[in-house]
Amino acid sequence: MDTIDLKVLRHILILGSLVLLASLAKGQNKLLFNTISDSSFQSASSALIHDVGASFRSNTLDNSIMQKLVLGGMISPEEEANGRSTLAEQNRAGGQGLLNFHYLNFDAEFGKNRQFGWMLNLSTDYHLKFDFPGTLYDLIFDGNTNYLGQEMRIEGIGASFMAYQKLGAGVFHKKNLSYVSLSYVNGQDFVRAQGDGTLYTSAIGDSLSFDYSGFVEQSDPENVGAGRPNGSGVSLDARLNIPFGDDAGFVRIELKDVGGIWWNDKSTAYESKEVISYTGIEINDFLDQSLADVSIPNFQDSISTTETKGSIFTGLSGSYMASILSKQASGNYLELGVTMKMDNTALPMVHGSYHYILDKSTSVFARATVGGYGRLRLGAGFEKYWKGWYISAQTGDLPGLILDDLRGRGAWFSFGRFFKTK
Amino acid sequence: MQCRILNLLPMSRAHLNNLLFPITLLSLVMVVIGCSRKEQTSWSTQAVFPVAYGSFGLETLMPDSLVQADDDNLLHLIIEENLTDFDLDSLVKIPDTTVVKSFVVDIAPLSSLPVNPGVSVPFPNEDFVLETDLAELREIVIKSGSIEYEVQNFIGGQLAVTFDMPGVTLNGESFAIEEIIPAGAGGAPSSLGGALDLAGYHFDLTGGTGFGFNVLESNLTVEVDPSSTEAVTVFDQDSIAISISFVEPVVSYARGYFGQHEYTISDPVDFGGFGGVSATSLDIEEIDFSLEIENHVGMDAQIQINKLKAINFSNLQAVELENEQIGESINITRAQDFSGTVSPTTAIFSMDETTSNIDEFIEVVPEQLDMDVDIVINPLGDISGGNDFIYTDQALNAILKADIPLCLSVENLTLTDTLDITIDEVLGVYGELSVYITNHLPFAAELELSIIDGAGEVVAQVIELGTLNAAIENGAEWTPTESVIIAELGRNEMNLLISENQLLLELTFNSSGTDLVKLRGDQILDVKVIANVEGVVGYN
Repeated sequence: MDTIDLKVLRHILILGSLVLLASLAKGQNKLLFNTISDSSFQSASSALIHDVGASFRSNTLDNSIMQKLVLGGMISPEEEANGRSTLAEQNRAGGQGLLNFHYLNFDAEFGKNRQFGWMLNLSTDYHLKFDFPGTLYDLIFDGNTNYLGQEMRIEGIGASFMAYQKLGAGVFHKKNLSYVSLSYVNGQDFVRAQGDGTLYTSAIGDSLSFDYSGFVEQSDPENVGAGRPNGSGVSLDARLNIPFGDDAGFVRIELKDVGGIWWNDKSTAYESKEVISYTGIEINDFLDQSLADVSIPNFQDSISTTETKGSIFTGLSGSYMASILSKQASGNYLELGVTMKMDNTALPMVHGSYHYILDKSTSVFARATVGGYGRLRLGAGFEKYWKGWYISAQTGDLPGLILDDLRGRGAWFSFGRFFKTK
Repeated sequence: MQCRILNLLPMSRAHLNNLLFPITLLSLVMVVIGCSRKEQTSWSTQAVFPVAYGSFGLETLMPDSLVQADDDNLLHLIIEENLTDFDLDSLVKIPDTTVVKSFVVDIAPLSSLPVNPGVSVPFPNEDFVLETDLAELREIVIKSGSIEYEVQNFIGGQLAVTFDMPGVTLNGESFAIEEIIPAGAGGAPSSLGGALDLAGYHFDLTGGTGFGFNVLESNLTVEVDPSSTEAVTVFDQDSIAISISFVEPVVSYARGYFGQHEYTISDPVDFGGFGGVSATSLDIEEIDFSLEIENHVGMDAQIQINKLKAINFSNLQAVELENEQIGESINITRAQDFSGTVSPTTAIFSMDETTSNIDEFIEVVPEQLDMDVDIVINPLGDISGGNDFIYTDQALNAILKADIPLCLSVENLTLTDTLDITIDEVLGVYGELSVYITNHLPFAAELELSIIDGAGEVVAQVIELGTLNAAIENGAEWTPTESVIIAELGRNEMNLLISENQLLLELTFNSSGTDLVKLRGDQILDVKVIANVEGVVGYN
């Protein structure tokens, strides 16, 4: 068995493990309770649901490059060429990770209104995104070799990373699980950077000129780590499942992470604006032996930076989603939806899904998505409710789970338990 | 409502233990494993960037400012080489020596004499005489060294001894020994000693008369210790002995008569081929040459140069200087001392290409000079009345000076330089260096760049015979030529450069014809070195 076979085997094993986990968990887009005929969950007194997952996506960087950028490894020329094949003038990549717990109390009564229960949420969220011009990709992987006598405009570089924890409470509708939740947000870490630069290399390479401007903002660099308090904020999360017609389907409207964080006054902002040029070492210094070291030019040493400290506000990586699920004559559901993320990197994301209702408590779906941080991809998912247990597994890019040359990977798992005390 | 939550959780614990905790744990393990970085992120990339730039002419390439431009911007080769410093310290050297002086009581016809406490014992005063073989010194100043002294008492009583040398002074204070010395007993003396750093001490060696030489005046005063309670009986011929030892004394100044001496200098002088320059042929049109003998010593001297020979071991050429002054004696009068400021005298042997073969002598590009020079010091004896002087830091030296307008033709004029380079180890960088050279010089050149090891052996050739075309004569002007030389820096060469850290640069110039060409200061080499490399970069 050669190396490729081993890699395929490894992916199959991973996929198998995911399927196994999928049999135990609930997916990110929980639709099951709005589509199956088994309504026994409504008689539960409480439920505990756990979601975990991560995904990333890019319109340029494939899974292999992304993995090596994050986990390390040598990026091969083939991987670099694969990224270049879809390189656009402006490129983007992003991802998120999530670990949360929801507690739902079905026994609660709000006056005489018995339709609503209350809920508690605890989660930790990680969001990473960056956008970059194609020239930055050229510079990183090809250097300036192809830009002799030309300006290399590296404009529109942006990157951000944010990690936070949420502790929230809210109310939910016991039948369709619509909910509204308000959370306190602990800001753990954030880094935000933006910059533009122009590198000019003379025709024979005897001079370099670099015109650069940009800024970096970050939370307290001395207080880094999981759960560390570096800021406070609020977040609103809501999901409305609105039936229409006579069991003809429903409309879902969802808000996630709508809010912001006030990072404390130990946050730091760096701003740079510089034009520097480099023509090499003066040769007489070289002949005089007055230079001990000869090294390639290091612009970083030459860029002047101003540093300021103070409180910074950032919005959360929120999103708005609206979709319509139409029940088919077969009893299955066709879904069309659009998601808008609250950042200027991700494009509006449009998805279409077909949910097969296998039996009164089981659903599988296939999904096509375009937009967001990436291009068209095909996903799939599985949901099951059985004797008080809820499990789900889904991915936004099914081929991406095993193919390194695709541009996205991720999986989401949920599992829950509906308890009855009556 | 709150109670229900509390009630609910214990009821659910069994389920949680069965399912939720293991799965949560599994989730966390997957996150931790998935997020651990195993190695550096790295990739191959390329870069073009300038390494070095600049302009330099012969004055830059040739060491020790050998080439200088005159007011008309014409280049001159300036040679100034100190051929020898005649070591005249030996003329006034004081050897390590010990002088022992016994001061004897002479009370005859008495055989003994009681002396009460506080009363002097009668001793005669006698001067010390310094032993020097060569000179009659009247005064000296000591640069370094010390005196060790010892006082021995042969008298049977405790004495207060004061030994004073008024001619040995430092900052106006004279040298004196004041000691209480116990009684000698049974013929065995008691003794006390000490040492004195002589740095800076002035010695008047004219003695008590003020007209002598090599004599140190001394005064000895001995009395019975005033604190004694009894008189001391002193016998005739009892004595006090004082010994003074000079330990490694070095003289910085001396005055006196230093004697008449003859020397011959025949040691070869390393001339270094003008410091890193060699040539198989150098044709020079004119030259001003002089050999200057500078006399900073207050002595007359007579110098005769019998032979001066230039030798180049590289091209196996040797030329002996021919001039009417070779073999003739020349008198050099003494320098004058104006209260410490010396006005030297100079004897100059001047010649040029019309009065000697000095052009051929220099065209050898000498690596060594062989000399045969006779020197006579004080050839007329003591004509200064004992007032010769010397400041030993600067005595008599011979300096060769040459001013050669660079109107020449060259063959294989080679400039060599070793460059120490430290390169941080980088991941697999390799590529090439492009050397763009604009040559304003009227000579073609060949450039070689090699990596050498610690023993100076070439371990890799980076540039092998890169050729620069000569500037082209265009009337009174010269049109520069441009050349591009590519230096290959493969992985092997880069590894060698990182490990050995040394480059050897050799630039060999050749005239395009035999005509002599005047060189100007603006005839230079414009150089740009540009790297075009590939390599692996990354981050941790």
